[in-house]
Amino acid sequence: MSDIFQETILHHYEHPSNKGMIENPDVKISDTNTLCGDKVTMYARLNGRVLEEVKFDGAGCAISMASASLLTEKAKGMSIRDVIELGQRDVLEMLGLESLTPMRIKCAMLGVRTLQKGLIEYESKRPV
Amino acid sequence: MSLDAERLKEDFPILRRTFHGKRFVYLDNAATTQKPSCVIDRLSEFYRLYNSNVHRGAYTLAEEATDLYEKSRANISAFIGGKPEELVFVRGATEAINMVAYSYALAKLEKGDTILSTEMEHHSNIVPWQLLQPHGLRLDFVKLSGKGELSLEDFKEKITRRTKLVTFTHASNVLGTINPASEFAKIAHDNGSKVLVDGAQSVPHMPVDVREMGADFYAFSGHKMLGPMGIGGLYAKSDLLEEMAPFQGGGEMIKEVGLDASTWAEPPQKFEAGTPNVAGSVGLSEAVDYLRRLEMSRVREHEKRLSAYALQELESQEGVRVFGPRDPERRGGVISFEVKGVHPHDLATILDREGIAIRSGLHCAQPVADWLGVSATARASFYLYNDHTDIDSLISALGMVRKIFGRRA
Ligand SMILES: Cc1ncc(COP(=O)(O)O)c(C=O)c1O
Repeated sequence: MSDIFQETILHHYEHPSNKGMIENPDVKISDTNTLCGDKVTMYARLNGRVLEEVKFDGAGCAISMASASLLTEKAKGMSIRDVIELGQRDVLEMLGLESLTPMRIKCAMLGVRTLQKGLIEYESKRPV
Repeated sequence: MSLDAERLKEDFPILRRTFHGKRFVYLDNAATTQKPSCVIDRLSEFYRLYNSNVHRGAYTLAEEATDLYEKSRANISAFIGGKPEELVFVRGATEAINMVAYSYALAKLEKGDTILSTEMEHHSNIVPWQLLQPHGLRLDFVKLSGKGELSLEDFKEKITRRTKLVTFTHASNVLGTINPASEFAKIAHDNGSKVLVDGAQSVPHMPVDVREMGADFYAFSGHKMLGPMGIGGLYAKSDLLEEMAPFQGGGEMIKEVGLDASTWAEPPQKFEAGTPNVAGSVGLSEAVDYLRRLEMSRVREHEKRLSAYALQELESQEGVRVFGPRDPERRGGVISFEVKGVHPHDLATILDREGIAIRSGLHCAQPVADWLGVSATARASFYLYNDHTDIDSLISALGMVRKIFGRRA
């Protein structure tokens, strides 16, 4: 039996949180995982340096979609810096997994990497 | 007599492995095939007894290695109906196609000339041609239609006076479709175009005769036909090899070298710069002997029966959708499918836990996925050592997939 596909992941795959788009977002960025064809678009609305609202849209495997869904919950209320600092360990913890194969890690990291890229771009465009 | 796959499995040591405590069911043969003991032993024998560079030394060992290399060329060439001097050793189908792109198309065709490929191709029969576009060569694609066949109508429409090269895969690595290669070749030749056939998915699985087919160029990979990785072939008619420009420069491919200019060795050496993969050629020759002993027509019959069984079993599963043609006469043992509500990657992960190796994703043929309107597919592909029990394992594991993903639906 596949212990990867436990409750949390299946739940978020089948009933994702914050799926859809944000009108006039501060951050909107898409990326794909070419290996599997996972696609994700991350949206964020910011209040200063804090993420006030986070949504995602896309299609892909259970790992990538559940991970993006969980991320939208986690990132809400976090600072830009804290989101940018999220790493593999945080994502695995969020998913309730101890490890993933290198191929599947890419799926799990798609949402967070995409959002981070968007936030970095947003930061670089902000007047100092 | 039909193949006894159960007995053949014994020739393949890797099939005795277990994964996650389960019997190993290898169903990713379109990606690469496993190797029989005779090929593995031959490789090791080469390095133990015959290792030497070729076409160089005057000592006995070097002569033996050169002899083995050239005998392998003759044997492999004969397997597809060609002459020894018509076979260039390459790394695989990808390098073979790139060789035609650079040494033939780029060197010989004129600005505005068109290369006609198809929507069914592996990326290796699309991207090399795209790389020629900045040099003024044009590129067009024959459309997919029906259940995943190339549209003959569209082919006849797209082929023009400027079409100098027609290139298509003999068998699809996603849809399983077997293309009517000789019919296509005839249309191309009547138009005055040369024909390149990508045989990566055909020469391992059915009798192939390049001359009968009418191919001017034919590309294939050894690792997909029981041979080692890193060796494959480009068959090309002698007159074409004669007029083609060198691919890479270096040792082995020259006759005389001056500081200002050099002259080329005769084909096929002209296209084999540097120390070749001698061990690989010997291993592939051994694989060819193994296939010849089994007879390719029986390999084809075996896979036809397996595909018919797999198609029937898959289609009777709830929520399973199979892609590609249904008629086993017109398809090979490559079956792409999807399970409703389950991403192919998740499917492959669950099957892996059951000891079953299938492929998921785009299979290096994104235009085919685009045509199907899917972002990825699951793919099971068979070879001579697969049998009904392997398909039964696949089907029962699909039940498991549905249990995991279906319980709340
Ligand atoms: C139809 C087809 N053409 C070409 C190739 C490329 O073969 P290789 O990677 O061995 O060069 C493949 C391999 O997947 C294939 O299926």
